[in-house]
Amino acid sequence: MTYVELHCHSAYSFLDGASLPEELVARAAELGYETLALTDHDGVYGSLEFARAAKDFGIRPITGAEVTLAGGAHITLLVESSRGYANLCRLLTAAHAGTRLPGREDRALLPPAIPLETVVELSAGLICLSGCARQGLGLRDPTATARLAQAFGRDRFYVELQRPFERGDTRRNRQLRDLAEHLGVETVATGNIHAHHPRRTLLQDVLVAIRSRTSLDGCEQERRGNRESVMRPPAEMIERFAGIDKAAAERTSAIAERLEFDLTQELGYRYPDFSDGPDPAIQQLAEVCSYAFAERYATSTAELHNRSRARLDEELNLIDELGLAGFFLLHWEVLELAREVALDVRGRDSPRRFLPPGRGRGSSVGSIVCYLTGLSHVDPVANDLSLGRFINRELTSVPDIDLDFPRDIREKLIVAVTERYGREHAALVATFATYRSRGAIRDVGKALGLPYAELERLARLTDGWNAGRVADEVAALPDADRKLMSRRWRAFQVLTGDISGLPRHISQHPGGMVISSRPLVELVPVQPAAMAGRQICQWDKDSCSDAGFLKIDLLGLGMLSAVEDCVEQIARLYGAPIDLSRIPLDDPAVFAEIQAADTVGAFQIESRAQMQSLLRTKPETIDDLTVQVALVRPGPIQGKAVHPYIEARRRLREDPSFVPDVDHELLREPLRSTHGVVVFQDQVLDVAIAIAGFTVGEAEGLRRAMSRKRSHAALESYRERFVSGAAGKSVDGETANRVYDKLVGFSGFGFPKSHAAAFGLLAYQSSWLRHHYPAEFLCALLNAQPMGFYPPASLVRDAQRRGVEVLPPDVNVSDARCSLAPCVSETQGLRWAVQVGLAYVASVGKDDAEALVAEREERGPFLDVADLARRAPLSRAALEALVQGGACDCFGEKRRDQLWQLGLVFRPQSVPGTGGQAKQLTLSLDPTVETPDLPDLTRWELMLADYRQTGLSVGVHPLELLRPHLPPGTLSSQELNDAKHGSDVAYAGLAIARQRPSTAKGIVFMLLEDELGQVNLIVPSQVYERHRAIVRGEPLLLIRGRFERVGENRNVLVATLESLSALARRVAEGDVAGSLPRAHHFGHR
Amino acid sequence: MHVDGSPRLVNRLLVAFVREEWRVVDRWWTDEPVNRRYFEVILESGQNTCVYRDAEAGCWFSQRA
Repeated sequence: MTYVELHCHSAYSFLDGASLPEELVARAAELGYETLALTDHDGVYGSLEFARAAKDFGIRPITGAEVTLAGGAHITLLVESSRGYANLCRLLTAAHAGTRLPGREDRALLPPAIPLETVVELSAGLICLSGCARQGLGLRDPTATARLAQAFGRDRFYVELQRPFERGDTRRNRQLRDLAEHLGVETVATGNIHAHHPRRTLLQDVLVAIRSRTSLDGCEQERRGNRESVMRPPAEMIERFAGIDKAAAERTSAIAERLEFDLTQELGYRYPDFSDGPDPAIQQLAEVCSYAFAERYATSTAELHNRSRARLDEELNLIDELGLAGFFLLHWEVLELAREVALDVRGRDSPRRFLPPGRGRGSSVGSIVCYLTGLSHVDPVANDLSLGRFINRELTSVPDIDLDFPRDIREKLIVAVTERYGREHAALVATFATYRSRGAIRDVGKALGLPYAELERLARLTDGWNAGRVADEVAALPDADRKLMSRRWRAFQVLTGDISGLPRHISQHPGGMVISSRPLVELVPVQPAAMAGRQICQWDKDSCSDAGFLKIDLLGLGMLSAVEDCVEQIARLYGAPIDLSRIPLDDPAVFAEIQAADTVGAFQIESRAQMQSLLRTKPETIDDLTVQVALVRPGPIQGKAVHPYIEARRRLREDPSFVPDVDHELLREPLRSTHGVVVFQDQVLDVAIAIAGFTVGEAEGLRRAMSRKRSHAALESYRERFVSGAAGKSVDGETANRVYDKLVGFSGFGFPKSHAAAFGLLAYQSSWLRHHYPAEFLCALLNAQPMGFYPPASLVRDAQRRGVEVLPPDVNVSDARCSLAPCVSETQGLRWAVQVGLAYVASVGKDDAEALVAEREERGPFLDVADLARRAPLSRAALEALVQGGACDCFGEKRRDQLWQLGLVFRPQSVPGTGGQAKQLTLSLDPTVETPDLPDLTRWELMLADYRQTGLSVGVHPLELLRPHLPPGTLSSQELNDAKHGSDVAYAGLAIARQRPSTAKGIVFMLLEDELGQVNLIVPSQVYERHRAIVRGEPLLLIRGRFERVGENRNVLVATLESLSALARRVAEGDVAGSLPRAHHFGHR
Repeated sequence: MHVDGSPRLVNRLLVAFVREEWRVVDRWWTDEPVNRRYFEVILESGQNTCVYRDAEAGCWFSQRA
């Protein structure tokens, strides 16, 4: 008889288990285990990942969990059968049901717990062990143990013995053996594994400290105290129990043999397939499509009508053949629900009521059925979009459908879907927050008791998502030698690497939902999310996909929210709503702006890289924009598609008869729309089919293998198939390999054409709104923050440069959100200016701002700051922020005077014991002392206060104030435009964006802004390494370098960087750097 | 010391019985790490005592049981 480990924790026992499931099974295989159980705390978060990995290593996985009972005692439950698994899922769901307090869902989780009687009720198909050495039920409550022993019966209940080499093991195990004898049940030995290897036990100690929110020194009681809760060879485990109860150790394999349930087999998941309706699902779907077809193609040409009808028939046949009618009907039903939600959210009279509630993203946009069921708004026939990737005859799993919604609709829709299908049948998919550099530095450093300031400095400097690189970063610190003399810092280096990638806690996926016709709570446990009405299942998208669950992605898209807000504002101001589906798609003025890269704020084409590309590609049509949004992505960049595409566009502008080069004539047709290069994901399929004779299914397999870069062996086997297939079409090996290399370079990081078409259209619509309704568009963008490439301050500066007037927040005029206010000028007559909303003021939340506006609307404008303080239900901090942020400038008094007066105002106080219901009124007395003569704020102070309090300033730019003090020869952005190519220049600006793409070999791209415009910087990697702290942390910079002009693109290749913070501090006589907004960072850190 | 690492003699007295063994590996992050194997033993004299082998120091110590 050998030993089987029946009690083992992975890192999915959050902040307790120190090893990933893969590490556990790899180690178990190495030590000679044939079977292994995973019993994480109150969950099966990692069970499917574990089961799949175990099978790869030839180990039989056992599913289980260590469950916390009401009162805190633990029991170990192991799954014997499918029924047992369903019961375990129900038990875990029940355990988590009370972890969020109603109305306080966002607070910290309460510990999961389950009543003993629920376990009794759902005991079928499970084997129960009496729990661990420290918190096991067997020790804590022998009476309750007896109750469970009776419920499970002597063949399914065991008293659990452990030997963690703690003081008291002997007595405890004797006690437990006595209990087993008394209950007439047998004992079983377990190891309570928390790490796969002894060296990982240090991390286990650290995890306990993090969980206890203290240092290692502060959690001695909670820590294990030695390195014995580690996976040991089976023989050693039997030996460990030799003097205690050897039979208990040997019994493990007999129990394991009974635990036959296999999580990797069919779980019985079915999505609602509409098979219970009066007609077959395919007929229901055909009816829905036919109805919509008649409406959508009523006015189309006969040719389009016929092609579309043929495409619809073809798709319906394919859908019927694949048995996917229910799948489409389910999505249609969700979208119908979204329509109802949209009507509710937007209001039945809102101008937004004409807009579709959401739009498709990804490959679903290529389907006419999706178009007719409302899942996408792009006509795939008119736009020549292929269906290939979405559904094909070789499909092995259900396709994904991604739907984008404005945020407000999405918020309600998630709850509505849960309620529509029932809380037992629908839940959000989980994600697991894993440790990256900053989290690892802060958490591990705090546990080790390292100085907070040093950790923060390191966290700010850290340069990567991968916490495994923190050790090198510590070694590169100027005082590394001194630091590394300390054991704590040495341990820090090792442990930040160990913790890298380990899950820290469960969180909710941005919008993925699973819906099941069989109760989902019998397939995977479900627990409440941190937002009211939402619940999440315990598996992430990979586990859900492995289990064959259908995931519907309901995604929130900030730009959709902004566009809707903009449409609503326009309708309100001008009396007539605009229908974005009917705007001209070839507006020359809009394309002129796009071609000039005047696109700050436009969807997808606003980034620094996109702007530089726009100046060279010069998009002229909506199709060009479709390519454009897909072009500046890692796939086309690594696939070496960008420069040939740009060059082809240039040549075509000069000579419309120019024919772009292709690697082989067979590729000319599949790559025609992108001038001979691979820009879209679907083209990977098209190329593989055209040049190597792949079937659609094979090509899709290649695309999937590419999106999983780890599967190098799989990619190479596809190469062989690709080259041999190409040879069959008379393509030489060198060409085939070159094409294949480009496809691999493209990898998975590209858009499908259909996705790009949806995004390209939104890019155009947003550009159109930006051009024709600049004030309304800016207002909508400010209200939809956070989103996009630029911080609000830069959006405002850009709009101001284009003639939009922006007004500061004003307690007597502003709404809670940004709004549009009439503004009359002598030259332009009545125009609309953007009035910054009160919620933009720091410390004033949306609720506070709305309460202030309600008070103003009910009882009239505020007379002065004292009146405001008495009437508005705001905290003193919020009132001070309003004054400092300029929202009280309307009272005509200096900000310092108003702050002084604010300090003297008597405000109504709550009567103690009334919970704030009763207020003690104040006497309307004037202050007894005069306001002293306080100096007014300087221009610097006013500007910095604006930035500090609202994140933006509508007044003077910091560079305008700093310019007279800059070193001679420092150019402005405007002067830089006239500089000679190759000349040495100096430039000063405010950093607004910083980008370090993983494809750029360490080069950092920065965008700086001054009072006149923006300037692009290229910071070579060696310059970045030399000035890393300045690049990453300083807002005001003086750079020197070489000015480069390529076509219309202008860059400065940076040689040196200096911080201007000290100069600004001297000039402003105060802290400047700390008040200015931090640059947005994108990509690799 | 026996092959399994338990003590054979304590203060020149034979160990009659090992009542319990436990291990402490702690404070590894400090300059004074602890790595000890404790034994609570009964000596042939009938005396109950506690000894530990300190892996850091490489020697045995006794303490009151």
